[in-house]
Amino acid sequence: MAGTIVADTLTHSTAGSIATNYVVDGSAKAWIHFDVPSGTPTSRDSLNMASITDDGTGDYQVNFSNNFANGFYATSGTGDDDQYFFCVDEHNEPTSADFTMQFMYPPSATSDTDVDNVSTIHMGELA
Amino acid sequence: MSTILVDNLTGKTSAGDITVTSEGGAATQSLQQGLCKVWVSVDQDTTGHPIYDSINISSSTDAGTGRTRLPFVNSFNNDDYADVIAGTAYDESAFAGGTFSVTQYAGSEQKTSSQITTDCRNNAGTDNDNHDTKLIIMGDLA
Repeated sequence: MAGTIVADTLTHSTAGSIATNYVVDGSAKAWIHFDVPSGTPTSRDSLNMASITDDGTGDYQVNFSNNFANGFYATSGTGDDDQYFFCVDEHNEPTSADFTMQFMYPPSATSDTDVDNVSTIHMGELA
Repeated sequence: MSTILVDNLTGKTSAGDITVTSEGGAATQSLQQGLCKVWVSVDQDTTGHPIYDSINISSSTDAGTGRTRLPFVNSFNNDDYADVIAGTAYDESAFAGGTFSVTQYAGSEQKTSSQITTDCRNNAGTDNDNHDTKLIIMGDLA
């Protein structure tokens, strides 16, 4: 039988202490690395991701397995191209269940583009 | 309030899997998979690209303008980890770069399970050493 520990603080013998709310609140709740071969986003590895939706060229939506408490989580992302903008999709605000991103080329940043080697990390509170 | 004095946390049923309950109590999640496995802050515009601070990075090597090679202390299972990077311009008025910072995906500096190399460029797309380059990696360690 697996055990359960209820505690407020973890203390290492030399490295100090941390309140366990930092462990829970400070852990990434979702992350993903995906490629876009032939325009179809395909996951290589992930945590708490149910699927990826192809919303068009350079537009991808990642769908969480366990939802966040709201859409106000923090996200950062990059993709494999040396000249692009990683953006929150201007037409789809993040929700508790999904996050939609855009990759756009500067300087006009009006043209979406498919990129490979996309990584995103999502920090926040789960429902 | 309770305090646990411990140097190592290991799952009982599966050594690499400790479950934590979500803030709202509606879900559970792997503690190990949610932990950041690498973070590093690098000064690229100083000779040798020294590290300001880091976790799980063994050294830094100047691999060219905008390129810093960063080997891991503990390697990942594979190269499928999620890495995000950002660069800070030293002089905002000159827009010295940072917007288009990525990591290398192909070529001789392609990321592997044991190291990663930055690719930082300025707004013209030219290789550029950032004053402050930040990298975070999530994934599964070996």
